[in-house]
Amino acid sequence: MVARENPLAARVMVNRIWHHLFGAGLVRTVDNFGKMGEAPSNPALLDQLAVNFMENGWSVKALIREITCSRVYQLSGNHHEKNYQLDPENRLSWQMSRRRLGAEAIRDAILQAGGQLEKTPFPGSVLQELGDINYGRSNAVSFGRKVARHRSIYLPIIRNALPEVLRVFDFAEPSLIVGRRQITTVPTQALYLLNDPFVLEQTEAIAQRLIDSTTDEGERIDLAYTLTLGRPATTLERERSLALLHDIGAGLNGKNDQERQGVAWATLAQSLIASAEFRYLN
Amino acid sequence: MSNLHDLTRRRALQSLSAGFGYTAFAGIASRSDGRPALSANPLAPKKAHFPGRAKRVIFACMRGGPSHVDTFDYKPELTSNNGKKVEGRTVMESPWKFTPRGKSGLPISELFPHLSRHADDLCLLNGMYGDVPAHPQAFVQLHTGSFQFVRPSMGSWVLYGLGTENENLPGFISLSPPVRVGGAQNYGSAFLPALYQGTAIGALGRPVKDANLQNLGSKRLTTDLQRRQIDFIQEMNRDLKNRQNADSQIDGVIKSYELAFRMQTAVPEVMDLTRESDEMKSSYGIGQPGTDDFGRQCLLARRLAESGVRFIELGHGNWDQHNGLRKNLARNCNGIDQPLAALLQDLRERGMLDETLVIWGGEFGRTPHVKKEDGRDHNHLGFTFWMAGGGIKGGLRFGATDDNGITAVKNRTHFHDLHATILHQLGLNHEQLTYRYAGRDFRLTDVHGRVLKEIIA
Repeated sequence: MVARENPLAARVMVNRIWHHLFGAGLVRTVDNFGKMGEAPSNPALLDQLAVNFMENGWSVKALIREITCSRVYQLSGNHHEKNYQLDPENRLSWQMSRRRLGAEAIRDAILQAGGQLEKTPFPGSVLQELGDINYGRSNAVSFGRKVARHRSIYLPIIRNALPEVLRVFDFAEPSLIVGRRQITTVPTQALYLLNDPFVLEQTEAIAQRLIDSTTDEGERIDLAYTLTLGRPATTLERERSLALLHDIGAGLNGKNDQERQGVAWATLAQSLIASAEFRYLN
Repeated sequence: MSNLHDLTRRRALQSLSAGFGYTAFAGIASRSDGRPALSANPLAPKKAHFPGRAKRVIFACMRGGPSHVDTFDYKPELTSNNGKKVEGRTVMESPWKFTPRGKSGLPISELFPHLSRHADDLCLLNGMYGDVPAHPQAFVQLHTGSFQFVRPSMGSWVLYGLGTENENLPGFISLSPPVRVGGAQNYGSAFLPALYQGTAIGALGRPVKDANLQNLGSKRLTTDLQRRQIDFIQEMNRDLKNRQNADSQIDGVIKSYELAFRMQTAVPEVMDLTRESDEMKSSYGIGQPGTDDFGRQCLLARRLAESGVRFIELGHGNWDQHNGLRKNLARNCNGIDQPLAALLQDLRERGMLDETLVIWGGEFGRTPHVKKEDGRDHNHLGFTFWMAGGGIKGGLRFGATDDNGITAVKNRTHFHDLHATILHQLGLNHEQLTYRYAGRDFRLTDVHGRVLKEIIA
């Protein structure tokens, strides 16, 4: 399978890594090479990368380094009308395509914004602690709390019982081979980001972070945008954010000032997370 | 300066998506050349392959494997063979009497006094058989057609084929599904686009009274404040769209928030049984201890059907009477009899029965052989399903097991045949409703299945 004369395994692997880095493979049908799949957009490039990969001892790191240090990886996502007319689907990589973050990245980013992300792996197997049981709704809740803050890549994956946040953002079906995940945009995602307890908790944490950092509202707003979207707010956005904070605070009944503040800032943070900009990588 | 590419990508999505909630598939691949199938709304109602009698399905799923010889498969020889050994084991007659009911004279167990009155609507499939006598595999095979591989569920195929009539509700809903025996796989979409997956409401074993769709409201904000929040989010989204040169993906996000906001009221409204009269509710057995839960499920099913939901599954159990047959089977039947009868009656009175395919059955049946005097074991070799409405002939017994009810011998009906027939009644050709995955075309019936033309009215 990995003989030098048999390039298939190397080409498939290279293609998958390209797919992860660019959002689409050189062969777009990642799980389907050959006659039943699509032809590569750049066969010479695919072959060259495959050969390099084999000659570098099948090192994934070396391949990633090779691709990410290339010019094409560092292209901007800016629109270019002429290029767009020639190649609207960006098959020849004249820009970096915008792509939706995967489920794991969305979850991690929400945790990261609140300073809650636990980046170390669990010691041993967390699942083993559960023992030989029927895993249902009730122990899912208590088990979920144990793993609530860890990086998504360290989460144990139980088939037929995926964590909601992963399921709702198109996590790969664990029982199938999925080289290319679906990318859906559905109301359940909106409902999740607006209402799910996980999001509510994490945005409370972000709010606390904002409140603790400074008393200046403008600075807090900028920090909120920076933590969630990686950039400060524009002047217009700052105005809008202040208006939102005011409206939310005024609309809350039966709460003291401190609570209102907390909810208002958490709502702002949540709105930024709920926005399209949060989930699309530019 | 209009441009063909412009038209197909951005303009088309902008104009076509005006009326629909679900848009923007960036990465959907249902074509073998890998190009995304540009559909403005993958869940919009689709034209069937041919005009089908039924518009929707209500499937009453009896988890555990209901005994057929005690319910809908009348076996007079079993009575005369009572206590004898057949194929090496002792058989037991049914503790209950069967009598011919309706104009058709269909023999139905005395355990179903209410449902028997609808005998002329029922088509009994007495020749069912499956491949595996174990719960997890059989239950999954009933729902997906395969006991070995992960495949899309019946409901997902139906949604894929027909779309849904009401974008404000999920198009495929499973009430009280079991968490085990496959769990989410039974309403999952496997390799079909994820938005064809079923939505579970509640779980088997928990009262459906307390169940509702997840995340339907904020614990932090009132509806008004949430609307204010969504307005803020949408402003951001529209800005992004302008900055990044108009894109269908952002449109999709914008639409998804509007739809989510509407769902937050639409779903609770349809699930709210206080909107029904006391008379209606008690006709379904709601309010009585034995029938309350399934009565609610049946009434919900009618409301969901009225609201345009395409595939509705109801869950009842446990029918796995290895012991306690006399007590537990009677209790089970009592729990579903009045509700199902009320559902058929209600659909008929609303003129909906002809367009609604109602199905009843479980993952297998049970042996006529007795286990310790008061139980029956699994039997996948022969068992019973029934169908009503949706253009199926009523008052008919199709297929048969042997004299004792062990093996299906006449007009044998596999799950594949059941699936083919269900799709047919919905106007879908089971051989044409395919999806390309892993290099070949897949379908619900895989390479099997025959439409039971004999039972179609």
